[in-house]
Formats: sequence, C-alpha cells, structure tokens
Amino acid sequence: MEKINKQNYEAWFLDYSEGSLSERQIVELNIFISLNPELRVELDGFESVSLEEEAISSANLMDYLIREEITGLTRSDYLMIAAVEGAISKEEKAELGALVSSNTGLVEDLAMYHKTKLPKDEMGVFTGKSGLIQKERKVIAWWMYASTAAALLAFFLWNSNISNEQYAPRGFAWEAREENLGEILSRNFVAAEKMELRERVTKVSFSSKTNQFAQQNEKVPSKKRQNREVLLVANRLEQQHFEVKSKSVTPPKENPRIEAPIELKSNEMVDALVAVTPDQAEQKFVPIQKFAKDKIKKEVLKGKTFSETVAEEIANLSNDKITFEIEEEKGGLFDSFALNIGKLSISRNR
Amino acid sequence: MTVKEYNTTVEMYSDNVFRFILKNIRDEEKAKDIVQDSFLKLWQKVDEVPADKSKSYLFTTAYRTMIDVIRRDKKQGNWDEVSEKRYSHQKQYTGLNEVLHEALARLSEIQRSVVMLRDYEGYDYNEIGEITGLSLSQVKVYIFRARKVLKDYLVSVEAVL
Repeated sequence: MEKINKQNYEAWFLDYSEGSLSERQIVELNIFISLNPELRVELDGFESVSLEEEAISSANLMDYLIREEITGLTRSDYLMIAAVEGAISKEEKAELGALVSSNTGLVEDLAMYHKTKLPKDEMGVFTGKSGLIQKERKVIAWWMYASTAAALLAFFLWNSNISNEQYAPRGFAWEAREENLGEILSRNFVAAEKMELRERVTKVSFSSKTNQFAQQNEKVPSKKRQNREVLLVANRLEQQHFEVKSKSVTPPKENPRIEAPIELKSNEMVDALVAVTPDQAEQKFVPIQKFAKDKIKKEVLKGKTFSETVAEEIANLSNDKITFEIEEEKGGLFDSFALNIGKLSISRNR
Repeated sequence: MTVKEYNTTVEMYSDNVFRFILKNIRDEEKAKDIVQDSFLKLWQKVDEVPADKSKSYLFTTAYRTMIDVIRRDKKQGNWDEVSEKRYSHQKQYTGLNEVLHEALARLSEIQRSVVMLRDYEGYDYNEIGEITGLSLSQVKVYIFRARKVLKDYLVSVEAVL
C-alpha cells in the first residue's frame, strides 16, 4: 500500500474504519493525523464503534498511572514531548507508535504538543542599536603619546605671540642685574631689541630720503664714522631700555657723548645706521623666538609644515579619543585651536 | 573579537536578546537597559571573548542580569504589579500565537527562559545549560515540564472555545 499522504488519505481512512490496516499502518495513520489535525474530523466520520472501545484498555490505564522518574511525566507525555523536541531514540519512537496506535486519544495530544513549539517571533526590535556600535580603534603606543606631546609643545611655541620681555624669568628683579644669569638674559634681551631697531632703521636708510639728506648737507659720512655711530646708538638704546624698565638699574659708565635718550626720528641716526646691512645684522643677532622656530623647523618638523606634522600625529591616534580643531590658518599661524585628549581639552585663541 | 566582529554581533543579536528579555520581564525599558548592559559587558571583554562565542556570552550575560533585576524587583515587591501593567504589547498577538504567549506567562521564569532559548534561538540543551547555569538533566526536565504546562493550557483554551 502506498504511503499515506494528502492525495490518498481517504483510502487509508476507509481501510482504517474497516479494520484492515496493520499495526504499523495504524501508527503511520496516527502520525499523519497528528501532523494534519484538520483531517481529524474526516477520520471521525469513518471510525467504527469498535475503535472507541479500544480506547479504554488496561494498557492505556497503566500509561496514565506510571510516571517518569526524572520528569514526573507520564510515559506517553514524556515520549510525545521527546518526539516534539527531537530528542527521541528509535526504541522510544517505536514505543510511542505502539502507544498511539493503542490509544487514538493520544493523537490529539501529540498534535497539541507540536503546537507548543514557539513560532519564530520577529516582534520587538531593539531601538538602541546605533548607540551600541563602536568605532574602530587603534592600539596607541606610549611613543605616539610622546610624539604628540612634542608636536603640541612645538605648536605652542610656533604659534605663541610671546614678546621678548617674556623671556625674562617671571618675578625677575632687574635690581639683581649684577647676578650672572640676570646679566646674560638682559644682554640677550637688549641685543634682540637693538637688532630689531637696527633692522627697522636700516630699512628706512635705504630709501631715497637718505640721498636727499646727504645732498642737503653736502656731506656723506665715512664708513668708519657710520660704524662708530651705530655702536653709539646701540649703547644709547641699551641705556634707554634699562631706564624705562627699572629705575633702580645702575647706569653704565658715564659717556660724555650721551646726554639724553635718543629719538628714532633723528635723521642723523638714520644716516649713521646706513652702513649696517640686514645680512650683517642677521649673522650677529638672532632673536630667541626666531632661533627656536628655525630649530624646530629643522629638527622636529623635518621639512614639513607644522600643520602637516600635527595632522600626521593626530591621525595616528584614535579619532574618538583625540580631536583637533582649528578655526583658521593664516600665514602658518592659527587664529584658534582646540585639542581634546579624552576629557582633557587644551584650547587657545590668538 | 575585533571591533568589526563586535559591531556585527550588535547587528545580528541585539534584537534577539531584546526579544528574549522582553518576553521574560515584559517591561520594555528594563529590557533595553539589560540589553545595553549586556553589550557593555561584552565590549569590556571584547579582547577576551571569541567571535563565535559572542552570542552565547551575550545571552548568558543578559539572562543573569535579568535574573538579578527580577530578584531586585521582587524584593521591592512591585514585580507582579509592574508585569501586569506593562504587558500591553502582547495584545498584538492573535490566534494561536496569542494563546501561546498567554501560556508562556504561566510558566516559571526558568521554564520560560529555557523554552524560549530552545525555540527562538535553537540552542541545544548543553548551550542552554551554559547560559542558565543549569545541568543538562535540569534543562531537559524544565523544558519537558514547560511543554506539558503549555500543552495543557492550549487544551484548556480549545475546550473553552
């Protein structure tokens, strides 16, 4: 006989009602019904009275009384659940078949157990998913932090608008000028300021006004005299500086030629400084800020621009931990910037 | 597990963990908190947990966190009240599904959890044991008894209808 299916089940039902199915076939029929419970009504129409009597047997009664040791379930329940769970052995399967064939009431129970399998449920979507997504991170070695710190330091120095006065130690008393350190610092300071003045005046001296002045006086000073005058002006500047900075500064040795602080508007001074060229001045005096910038450019930046170097350092670090913001860059200088390292934030406005 | 694998885990399993917890505690806000806590714990151990164990780690963590929350709420004495109040989302189910979810609510917490891990996530008894901290035979007993309760409820509902 062909295996029971949805095309031939009616013939099976008829054979069943006439009692012509073998035990094995009855088991097959019962399993088919449990899988297609909607056909149960049809089968009921075929069933004979003799089958109903079969339902109440001593074997079935025992099945209700005996309990599984571990689960506390009846044997039939245990076997049916095991079948639904897919955790049934061959022997247990045969046992279940025999039970079901001897008690058709179990067919419904088996169908019910199948229904206890929870269908896949797609209801309920977690809405906070985006908040759980993490950014890719890099392992940051200590030397990366160190190099960033170096770049940061360079950045401050490069962009600082520090005037020359700030190179003097904070709280430094000019009265203590006789101390070596104070003297050295003050000399450097004066030298830098002197240089600045010379550059400025020299620039003026190259203008056509110099020639006009020479023509008006019909006398061009000799080079030797010009150099002497430059030194004179420089000394007077230094003197003037210390007088302005501190009243208590000990004046230098009396020089009969210096009677009063010089004034930059003096045409004579412009004339005197004409001998000093910017190149010569560059070799003699280098302001400390310029020196530091050159040094950093050569040894830290290594030919790159500062922006490029900092950008590279920052790029090497984790985006989510370190951010770097620059508002505007003009001529290599920044208007404002902010560097955020974790919770630490360093910012500066020009 | 790499960050990429962690993010894949979020995409793949956050909904599953959320549903699992939501069906157990029936409180959407608490379920969200538990899911976030679980993923936070996973992230903290991202270097230690292998990618292929991430799902199991997540469910284990979520399950244990949920049990803690349930115990805490029970101590505070507001569990039943809260559960009833916040059960409204279940109303969307219809037919057998609705009856099944009503039946699920009648199971004990542990029975409900093991059945859901079994049916929704397809875990075997061993995996369920790892997640819940139960032995293999305990898992089997809980599942078998849960099926019996579910089946009896379905039969009783059908009898009424």
